[in-house]
Amino acid sequence: MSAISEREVAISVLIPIVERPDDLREIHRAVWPEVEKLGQPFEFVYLVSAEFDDAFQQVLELHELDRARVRVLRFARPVSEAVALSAGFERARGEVIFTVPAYFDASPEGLPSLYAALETGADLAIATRTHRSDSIVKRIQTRGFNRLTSWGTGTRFSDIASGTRALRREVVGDLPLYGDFHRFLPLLVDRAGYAVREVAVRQDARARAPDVYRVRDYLWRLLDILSISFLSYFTRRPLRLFGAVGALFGGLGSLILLVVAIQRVMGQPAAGRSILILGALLVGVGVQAVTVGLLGELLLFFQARHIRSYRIAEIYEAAEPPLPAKEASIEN
Amino acid sequence: MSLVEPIGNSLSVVVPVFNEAANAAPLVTRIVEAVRPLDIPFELIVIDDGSSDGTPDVLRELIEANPELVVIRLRRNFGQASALQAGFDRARGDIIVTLDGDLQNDPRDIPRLLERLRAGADVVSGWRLNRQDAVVVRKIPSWLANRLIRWVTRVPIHDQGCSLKAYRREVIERLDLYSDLHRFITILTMPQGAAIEEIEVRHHPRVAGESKYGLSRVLKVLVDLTAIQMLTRFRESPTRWFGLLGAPFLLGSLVTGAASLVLAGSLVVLPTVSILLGLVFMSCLFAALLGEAIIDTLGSTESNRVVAREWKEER
Repeated sequence: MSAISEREVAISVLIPIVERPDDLREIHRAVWPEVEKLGQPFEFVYLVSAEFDDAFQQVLELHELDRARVRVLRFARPVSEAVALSAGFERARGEVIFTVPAYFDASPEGLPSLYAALETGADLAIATRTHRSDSIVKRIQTRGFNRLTSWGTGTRFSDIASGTRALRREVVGDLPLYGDFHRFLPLLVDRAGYAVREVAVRQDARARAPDVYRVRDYLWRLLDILSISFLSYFTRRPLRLFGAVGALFGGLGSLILLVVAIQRVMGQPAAGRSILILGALLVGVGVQAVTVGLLGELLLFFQARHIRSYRIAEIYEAAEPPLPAKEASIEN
Repeated sequence: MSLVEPIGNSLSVVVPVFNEAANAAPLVTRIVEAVRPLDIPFELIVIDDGSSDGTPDVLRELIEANPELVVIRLRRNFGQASALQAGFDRARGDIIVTLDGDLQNDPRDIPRLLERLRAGADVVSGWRLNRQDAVVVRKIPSWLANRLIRWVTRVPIHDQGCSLKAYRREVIERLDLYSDLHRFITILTMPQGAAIEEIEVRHHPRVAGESKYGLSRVLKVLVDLTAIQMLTRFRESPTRWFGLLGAPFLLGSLVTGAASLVLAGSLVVLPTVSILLGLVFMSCLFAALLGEAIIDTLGSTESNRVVAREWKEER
């Protein structure tokens, strides 16, 4: 067993242990040979959330077998996959990073084809699960999640939440990974201006996803889609959303107040009519929405100095640039 | 003595393109032909905004014959504002000229724009008096939008949508474009105190490729205008902006409050409405406070952004 210096690692395999882990020794046995096939120096990094003690013991065993190539990271508190992954991204030494779930899901045999996708220009390759061994109940849920996400964000991914992915290291620096946003990784990568490719991979026969989750989990998913949809459409121009909402409410409220006023002039007393309260409330909510939108615009405008929303792929120019480089005259 | 600071000589022409493979070669040739005779150092920066029709390859071929050409290929389509910003970030000239990649602007107008800059303008905007576009979907909405923008912002420009514009470098360095802000670029230069001028420019009908604008943008322009108005006229005093917004509600609250006192015994509704309107006013005040906090933390370098010129002897 030889010690591996940092530079010699080409591929990092990140395995976040954050929910329902299967026997990690089995997972390890299934994944290891597939990565070995690629013929590149590699490392495995197990990212263990605080609550999984058995899994931790199992990966420690694996670490003892090959200390240089199996690394273990234990979190001091329970973490989400997004948090585990960003810690993993920070420590990964390879130029290519695989993420593999700690349970049987997309077959590890698909890893080489993910790698091939990166070699042919993709920045992120995601395994979309086919031949699913999950129950029909689970599959309907996955499909619903994908549909809703597509609709909410204006993108098309057939299996966005699949945990088996391969990505180039340069991509991860640009991702806002927090909360449960790992589920939308392909979307975030796409938004950051990188190329995403889907690769069909058979689901492993040993995959055993639970059919039904807690009610809270479903609620969280829905809210996640809402926030990601907000990020997709309106982060750059909050007033377009809040202005529309505000105009709708405020308009409705004004209309009610106008009708009450006209009726008052025609002789019907306004005092004592509860619809007056509704009108005033709607106008108030409308104004509030517009206010929030304007504050958002203000924040963005001043923040824009530090944000560049474009990403350059390449610059073509003559060997001798036409004009010499120049110092900016103001601090930015 | 004069307030005119002499302007440097070098020129950057910045052109964002999107799927303009058919127009790319004539575009580059025409710009180069129009600028070369001026005998000033210049670069032509073409930003490919994620074209899928091979535009970047066409452009790349042109570099050999036109060493002034710099092609920036973006990873995907980011929109015109971001593409322009990519060009601005790279631009090295003392003067920056922008124009559209569809050949509807005429590069032969560039020398006239430069003249006005040398005469002291900070921004020179083109005005397409003889506009060659569809009347109903393009010209009429644009005329209305420009009227409205002129009225609201008081920037006396007749043709905000004309891409052919020239700027002093300092003006561009103080701008950060995102989303669709490129449509309001002259307005955004106003808080800097930039001297904005307008000259008539030629306009040609589109010969190749497809127009990328539609009617739907008019609505967006209206919403954006509200934001721009706040960002330019009230950016240093959000309390005034939100105060103005809240004032009618305070008034309403006071009136209904007084009425409920006068018409004593008349029940619940009037006092409730008074309280509601008062709360709306309060929330405007809260927003004003947040706005002040935002500007205090993020916008504290605001004084750097105003153009200040040194008085110099005229040469």
